[in-house]
This record gives sequence, C-alpha cells and structure tokens, in this order.
Amino acid sequence: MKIQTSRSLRTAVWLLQTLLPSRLAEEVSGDVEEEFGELCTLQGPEYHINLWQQTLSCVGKLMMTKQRLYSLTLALGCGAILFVLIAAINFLSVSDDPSVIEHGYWLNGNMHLFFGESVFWQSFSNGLLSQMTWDMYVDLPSVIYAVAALVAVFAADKRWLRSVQGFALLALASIALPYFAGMFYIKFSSLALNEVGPVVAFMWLAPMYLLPVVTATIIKKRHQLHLA
Amino acid sequence: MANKQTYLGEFEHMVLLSIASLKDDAYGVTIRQHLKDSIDRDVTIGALYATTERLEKKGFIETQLGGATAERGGKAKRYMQVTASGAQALQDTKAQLDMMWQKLASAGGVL
Repeated sequence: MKIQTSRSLRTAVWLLQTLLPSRLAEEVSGDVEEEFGELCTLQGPEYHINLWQQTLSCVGKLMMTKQRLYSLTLALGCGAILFVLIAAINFLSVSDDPSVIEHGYWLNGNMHLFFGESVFWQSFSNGLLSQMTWDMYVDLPSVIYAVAALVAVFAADKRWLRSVQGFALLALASIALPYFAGMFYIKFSSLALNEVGPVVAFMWLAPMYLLPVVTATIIKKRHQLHLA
Repeated sequence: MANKQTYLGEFEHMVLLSIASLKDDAYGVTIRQHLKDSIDRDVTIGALYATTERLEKKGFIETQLGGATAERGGKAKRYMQVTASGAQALQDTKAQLDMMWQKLASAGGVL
C-alpha cells in the first residue's frame, strides 16, 4: 500500500533524518511519519502547527549530543584561532601604523603581547581585512614543517598511539612547537627587526596550516569512537 | 552514599511505567499514546526520546530496532523493554512514594 504523504511531512522527515544523530534519526522520523501520515487527509492549520511543533521539539532536544557539542566547540575554537592568525598576518603585511612594529616584544620573543594591542583589534573595523591577498599566507618553511609534522604525527598515531587523546596531545605539541621554538630563538638571538619577520611567519603560519587538519582529524576520530 | 542514578525523575517514572505496561509493543508512538490515554499527558516526541535516551544510559531500559512498516515509510521502530534494574528502580520508587504518603497520612495529612 502506498502511503500518501504531504510535502510538509516529507520536509519534516528529511529535516529529522538530516539533523538528528544517526542512532535516533530513523526511529524518530519513522514515528513522526507514522503519526502524521495517518492524519494527512485531515490537513489544516492545526496539522501543520502540530507537525512542526513536534519536529522542532525533536530537533531542539535531540540534535545536540555531547559528541556534537564537543565537535562544534572544537571547530569554533579552531575557527576563532585561525581568524585571529589570518587577521594578525594581514595586519603585519598591510598596516602602515609604525607604532606596533616599534614595540620591544618583537625582539624579546614575547610577540603574543601583540594580540593585546588595541590597534590590532581596531583594524577589523577599519577595513584592513579587505586588503588581504593569498600570498601573505604562503611560507615555504612553514609548509615543509606542517607536512613533516603531519606525516610524523599520523605515523606515530598508526604505530604507537591509536587513541584520540594520544593523537591530540602529539598533534597539539606539533602545533605549539614552531611558536615556542621561534619565541626562544628570538629571545636568545640578537636579531634585527627585519630578521624577525620570517621567524614570526614560521611561528604563526605553521600552526595555521596544521590546526584545521588536526581539528578535523580529532573530530573524525571521536565520531568513529562514538559509533564503535 | 546513595547513587543518584538509581532515582527516577517524575517523567522518567511515567515513561518507565508505560514501557512496562505496553510490554512487547513499546515504542515512541505507542508510549506517547499510552501516556495520553492513561494520564492525559501530551508529551512531544522529542521530550519522550530525550527521556528514553537517559533511561537507556542509566540501564533501566534496553532497546532494539524492528517493525519497519509502509506507514512509517519503511523506517524501523525502536522497541523498548524494561530491564531488571529498571524494574527494581520502579519498585524502589513506588516503595518510597508509599512511605511518604503513609507518613503524610500518619501526620494527619494536609491534603
């Protein structure tokens, strides 16, 4: 027997199957289809209100599992760090404000203080980001380091680690290494300001390349662990 | 120290009783209908599944898929059954409620 379903019901079922966790999607959308398919011939405003009330309640209460919340938090955190790094590199590349460059932290390794500069954060509203070009974000040493670090981390994970925590710890260490190595190198070398630029590029771009891959892999690994 | 998870919330209690009453035919639609018919409580499908997920995590129910029909677009039902610890939790909750009602009665009652 072919059951006639309304477009509204088909949309609601599609929404539930798309948004709900896989372990609940089939039975919940089946329940909605069973209940509202029967009432299909009585369609009126009440039918649609009730159908969408039930559907949205399911989405609201069941969509956000701990696993999804964790993934979302991780993705948002990664996105925020990437955005700040992209903006910082853009600022240093295109800003004509000499006050920031003159600060002592560029020569003593404490360049994280740059992220507290009001002039940097004000640059967002000054339209500085519109001057961004892709070549600002290409740095060969950073690319080489990122590729080598990924190969090493994935190889170590395959051979020894085999756990999400182990992978995450090693990957985070590989992300942090360029930053701290650069920081100590600048701190204990007497570099001129024009020599600091390539080091800062390595400190920021290498983590920037690694971060999305590592984040996506951690999310994927946790998802697989959850399904197992 | 008492384990907090062994206590049943009020709605969990109702849902668990419904599942026990429905025996082999307890799934989302029938549980909702049972709650409506028995205590005139109209719950949303989302609230029901959020509760059954919690009950399953607590080990009070177990579930299995089955019963795909044309009226459900070929989608499986999640049949639920009360476990031994779920049955024990129901007994404990009933005993605790009975005790509280008896104490209220012996205190002269306020209702």
